[in-house]
Amino acid sequence: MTDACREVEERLSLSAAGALEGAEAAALEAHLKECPACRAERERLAELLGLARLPPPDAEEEALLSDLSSPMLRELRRRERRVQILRRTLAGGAVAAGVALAILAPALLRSRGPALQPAAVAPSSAAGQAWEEPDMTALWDESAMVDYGSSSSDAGAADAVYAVYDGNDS
Amino acid sequence: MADQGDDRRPVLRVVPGGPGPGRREEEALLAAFLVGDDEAFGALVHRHERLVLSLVRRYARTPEDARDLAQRTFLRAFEAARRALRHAPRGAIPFRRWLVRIAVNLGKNHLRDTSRFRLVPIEAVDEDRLGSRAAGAAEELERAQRAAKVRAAVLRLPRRQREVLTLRIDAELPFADIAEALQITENAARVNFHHATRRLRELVEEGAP
Repeated sequence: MTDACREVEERLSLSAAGALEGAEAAALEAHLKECPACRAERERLAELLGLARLPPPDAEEEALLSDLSSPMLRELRRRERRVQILRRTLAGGAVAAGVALAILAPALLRSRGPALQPAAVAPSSAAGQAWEEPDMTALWDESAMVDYGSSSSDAGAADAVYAVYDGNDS
Repeated sequence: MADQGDDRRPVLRVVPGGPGPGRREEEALLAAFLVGDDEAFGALVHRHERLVLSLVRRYARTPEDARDLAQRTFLRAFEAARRALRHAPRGAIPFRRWLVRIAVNLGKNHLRDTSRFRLVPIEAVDEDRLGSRAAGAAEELERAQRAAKVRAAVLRLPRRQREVLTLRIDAELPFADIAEALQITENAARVNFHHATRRLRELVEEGAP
């Protein structure tokens, strides 16, 4: 196989499938005139692809495949109707739920009203106790969103944050 | 005929002298179908059924399989078109390209599912008929057996090579269309086709007695 043969390898396959046109086809034909090996190769490839092709459908198969659209159309319209029914059902359900909520909400709120009262009223046992100042350090630690850790670099970051809190971020 | 049961659906008919041939006409047919024109649906299916059937027959074990795969291909493409037009009413619908892509994918899935049981292309199912038809000519019988072997080897090609090969030899699509359908470059389609022919020959020779 020469370099010229290697160059036309891909075109041989395309030509064997009848997919080569124009200048490419002309260039290949020019090579084939001079190269019996490539001519034979194209014939072998064409035969292989010919065997790979499916035979045309026979009368029985043609008859079976002749009317594709009618059953599909029935199926599509059936799906459309199903979707419409589902949409109507969902829309009806949403309206019914809204109406039910509007009717029942006041009654529900009234029935829950007294249950809120114990939480709103301070326990009578605590009424007589003196107020104690909370531990601010403990509160600060518990409510901190960011843990800066204890390393020196983290301490620097903490300082910067405190500076912002103190209005010193110049 | 449009569905008489739903009188709220507008009916838009495609009349002769409408949009020009090709893609615009196809989009007009699609739009007409989506607003209820069943004749437009029939026209669209008729326009593409040869293409779709030529692609799915490769993967079908029986003619009934081929019909089922073709119908599923169309149904999915129509659903995709419906969704696409809902989101972008003025957007282009590459319906033919979708059909090719969907047919190839469904074929691939069908092949995967059926190969769990048996890997036989459609024409091998009717072996008795094939045998009796060729009974008078040993040469013809031998060729038929070789053809069955080659077609079985096509189904054992790597996926991309198989797709490119079948789109070319079954549907006779130009490489530009094959590239578009598979979302690869035209050069990649050509190279894959070349490798497919080489690999196919190797597979046939490996399987030769």
